Amino acid sequence: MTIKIKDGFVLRKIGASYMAVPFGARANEVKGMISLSESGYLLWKAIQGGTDTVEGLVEVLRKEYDVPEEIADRDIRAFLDGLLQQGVLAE
Amino acid sequence: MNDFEGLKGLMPDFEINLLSLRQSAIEERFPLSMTWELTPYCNFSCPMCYVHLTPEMARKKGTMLTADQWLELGRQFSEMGLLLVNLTGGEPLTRPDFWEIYEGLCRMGIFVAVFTNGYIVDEKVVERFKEMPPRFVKVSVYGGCNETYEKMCGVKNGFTRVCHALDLLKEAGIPISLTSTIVKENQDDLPLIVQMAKEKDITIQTTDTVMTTARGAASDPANSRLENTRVQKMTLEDLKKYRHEPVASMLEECGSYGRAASITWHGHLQLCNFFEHEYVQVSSPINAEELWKQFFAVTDAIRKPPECADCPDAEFCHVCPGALASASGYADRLSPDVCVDAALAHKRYNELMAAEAAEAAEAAESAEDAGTCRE
Ligand code: SF4
Ligand code: SF4
Repeated sequence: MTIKIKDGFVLRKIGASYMAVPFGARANEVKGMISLSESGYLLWKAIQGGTDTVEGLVEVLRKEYDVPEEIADRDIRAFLDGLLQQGVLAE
Repeated sequence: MNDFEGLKGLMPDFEINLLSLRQSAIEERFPLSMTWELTPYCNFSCPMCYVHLTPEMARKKGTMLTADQWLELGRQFSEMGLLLVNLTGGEPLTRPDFWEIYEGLCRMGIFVAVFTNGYIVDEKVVERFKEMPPRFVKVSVYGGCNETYEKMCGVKNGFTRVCHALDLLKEAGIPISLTSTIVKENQDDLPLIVQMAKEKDITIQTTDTVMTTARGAASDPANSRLENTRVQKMTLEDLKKYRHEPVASMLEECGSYGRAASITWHGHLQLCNFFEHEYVQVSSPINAEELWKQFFAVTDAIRKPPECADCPDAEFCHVCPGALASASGYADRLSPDVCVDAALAHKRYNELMAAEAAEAAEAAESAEDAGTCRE
């Protein structure tokens, strides 16, 4: 599966908060905004920038954070699951 | 290399806390929310409006910001944290380039709310809102029947049209709220207005506090204002809470200061729409960082009027710089009408305190009497 975030989200950092704000049709599906952690923000940005595999994301995460590969892999899969459930990922 | 905060931090929670954002905006002084007055023009002419100008008056006062300038402000301020924008006017929908500005801001990840009188909200407008939903649409209601709209706003079929607009917006699932300013001209309509809101199941906020004008608008708010009855209705408990240490700066009375600001149609960046003299002029090329810095310099310099120093009612005064600005034209100059509430509150407080003391004395006396009886 290639990972892709649907159109219609703007990734934002406001003060110390990270979030994705939906607009247009997406705002009808996702009410309000999605708050993200700093690492969630990093991953989201990487996906929007074209990183479309779990392996690629593991690499992105491990470049910034001191985290063992298996943990990164597990956490990223959980993150992607969450995004999928919320209808953020393009199927 | 950063520490990894673990799995939980990665999950989207879909609920960001605006309150905590507001708090951090005040602490860090970033522009979380702004009100943008896109135009001084309106399709209505209401007596209590402080913005609406005739074209001739507008020409004398300044030049309207262009859509490109508004969008550039959006881009730069959103980099600094701008998340909420209220588009108002005049009637913002009368701008031919309204959609360019509105949709452009939405695409920047800004939540946009639109303040309108609803008169020109038709099927086409609602269709566009459906495609690009606003945070909410706030509709000002001026009367409860067409006659009042004609008398107040100078338009035909006003009430019918606004009701139709509300139905369309509701059907489209656009969040709506209503606001109504009650003045002499429409006070008899209040029950009708409230009933309409109830029937349509839309929240309504009514107010009888009209800021007097200082921005040279064509209308006449001082004449339309109803006596403010809020203070007269306060209980002793309310008044005890209302009483406070006199403030060092009236900016302490402003809940928006630090995190919010307004930009007028002619590019005055200021604390709120009521200011006339304390502002920073937006001009091209736009440099939002610099504007924001100057905005604080100008606003922080606002001093309390000298008369406040020996005011006997200072403990009951909740006057903010916006109220002063709208009454006298200057955020640091007094106009007698702003002091009325504090004097009233103080007087009422003394009376209620005296009544309470008298009651207590009476109760003590009758307890004594009762004691005598028992003997
Ligand atoms: S009531 Fe008037 S004079 Fe007294 S503190 Fe308030 S603004 Fe100043
Ligand atoms: S009206 Fe007063 S409280 Fe409101 S924003 Fe202006 S200065 Fe602040």
